[in-house]
Amino acid sequence: MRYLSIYLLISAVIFAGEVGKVERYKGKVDIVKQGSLRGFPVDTAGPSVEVGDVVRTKSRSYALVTFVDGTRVELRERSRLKVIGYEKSRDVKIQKGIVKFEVKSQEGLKGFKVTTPHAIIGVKGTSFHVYVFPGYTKVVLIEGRIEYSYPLGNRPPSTKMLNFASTFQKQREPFSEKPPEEIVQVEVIYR
Amino acid sequence: MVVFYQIYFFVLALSLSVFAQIKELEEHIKEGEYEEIIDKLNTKALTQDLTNYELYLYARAKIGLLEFDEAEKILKKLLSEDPNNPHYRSSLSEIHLQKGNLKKAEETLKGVPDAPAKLYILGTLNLLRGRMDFARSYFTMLPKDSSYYYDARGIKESIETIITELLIRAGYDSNPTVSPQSPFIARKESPSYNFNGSISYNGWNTSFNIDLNYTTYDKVRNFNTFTGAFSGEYIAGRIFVPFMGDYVTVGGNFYRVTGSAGIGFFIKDLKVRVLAGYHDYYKSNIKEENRDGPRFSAGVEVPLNSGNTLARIGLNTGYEDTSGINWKSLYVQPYIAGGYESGMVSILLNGVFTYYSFQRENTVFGRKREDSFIALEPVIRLKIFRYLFAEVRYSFTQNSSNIRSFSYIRHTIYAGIGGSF
Repeated sequence: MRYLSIYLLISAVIFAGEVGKVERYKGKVDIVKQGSLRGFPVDTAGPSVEVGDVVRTKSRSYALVTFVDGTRVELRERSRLKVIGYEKSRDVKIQKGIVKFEVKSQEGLKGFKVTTPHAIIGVKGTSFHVYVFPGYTKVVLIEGRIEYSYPLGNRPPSTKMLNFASTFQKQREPFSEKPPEEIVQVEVIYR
Repeated sequence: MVVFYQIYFFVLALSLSVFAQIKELEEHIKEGEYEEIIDKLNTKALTQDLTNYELYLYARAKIGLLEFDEAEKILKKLLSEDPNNPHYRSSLSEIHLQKGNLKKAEETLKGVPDAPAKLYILGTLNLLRGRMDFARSYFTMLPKDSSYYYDARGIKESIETIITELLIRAGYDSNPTVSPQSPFIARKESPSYNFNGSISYNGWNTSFNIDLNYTTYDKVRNFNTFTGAFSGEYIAGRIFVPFMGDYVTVGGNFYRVTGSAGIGFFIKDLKVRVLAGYHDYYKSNIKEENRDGPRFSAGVEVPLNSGNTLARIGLNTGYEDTSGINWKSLYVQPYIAGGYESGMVSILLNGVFTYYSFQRENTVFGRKREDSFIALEPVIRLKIFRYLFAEVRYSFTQNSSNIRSFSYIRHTIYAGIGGSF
């Protein structure tokens, strides 16, 4: 059964070229085919996504791309996702925007790789958001496990450290204690 | 005359057509349709020379397609003709930012007037360096119709969080009663238990932190302490509104409430603020009129971040007035606060020195009081599993006063376990 599913997956890639499709969308969504310099709107040219394609969402738009292995990728407005490879390994690149992944693990296939201009994310069956903007990539894990690296070194500090940085200076003073010049009533305990 | 009108309308139509083409290209940039820009300008370049603005848009499209080397080449050529052009320099800076060269990105922007691209880049640079408040300052200056505003909102969404922490700690306190009550108490040191809860919010304009602490002592009664503190700021461009307050109760028969708010400014790498507020003291549910009064403070802070280390040094100075005479004081307070994070381990440090000069003679001791107060608090946190962490926290406080009764030394050490959600 396992080999059959891999066979079907590979057949789909080789014979049809389609590795996924835009299953649902809102607003303006188009696909730039490999080697082309214009986008073909999904509503007229069809939802088929192949290796080398770039799926683009425009302002106030949204797209859900489902890949042949069941992996679901949601693109928020003004996002760009390029399918680098989907044969032996699953490899996509986010050029810009906010993209949510729900990756299905597939035996016989290497892990799922997401690259951005600033980071490389390795995935095994998991759900996460990736935020990509000029100079900035942030990965927010929802469920499962991911590994990531920032080859350029510009990894944003963790949210907890940012939070700490904005709150860590607490003014300490001795006078928040009981008034020192008064002798307070104390209970002396001998044990 | 007819010929003149023909030429006039021809030139007008041509201008409108060029204007419409440029608008169309700019719209493509906004929508991320970089391929179309390359296509149209390549086609145009076959029959006529591209203007510098068209070449600039071509470079912008290349940046969008992440083809930085080609874009950089075009921008450098354009800059050789017009070295101070803010569009060219901002775009070149964006390339450096994309390539991870933050220093070069910052240098390229020097002298460039404030524009959306510059504000976005500086905001992102500050965020990557862990200077969240400075980043907010730049991001909140972005005009809403700019595409960079959308990018900044996306970044904000990625870091906007409400973090709740709950901690239980057990430890030892060498001197919970501090002076000058201590001579009257037989047992000063005690095992102690601390319960802490905090909520922190980091939003677009606003950040705040609420921290609640309850400490109970096993061997010393009447000094169980509850503190509730809040602090935060509202940022609008280069101006911010800081606010803070606290509520303290010790042993159930002493209460203090303070609150202050003010205004602050981001000036280059400095954060400058002034605050005014009020403090109110109660004892055994009877208002201590003598210790109520206004409080004023001014402070300056510099972030010193590098890699995984976030740190700040600052200086506060202030005046606390009271209706009574013993508590009018001036203070100067340098401080340092920092944190380092690596994988599973975080190390945090708070350090503060305060010099207090009381303005009137103390009515009990017959002379003016002068205190030097030091507090040092290192904390080590170890992530255990998902939301759980373990913590060891040591704190050292010392007050040295020219009136000996007010001097004390206190050590506390706590080990605890907490959850962060």
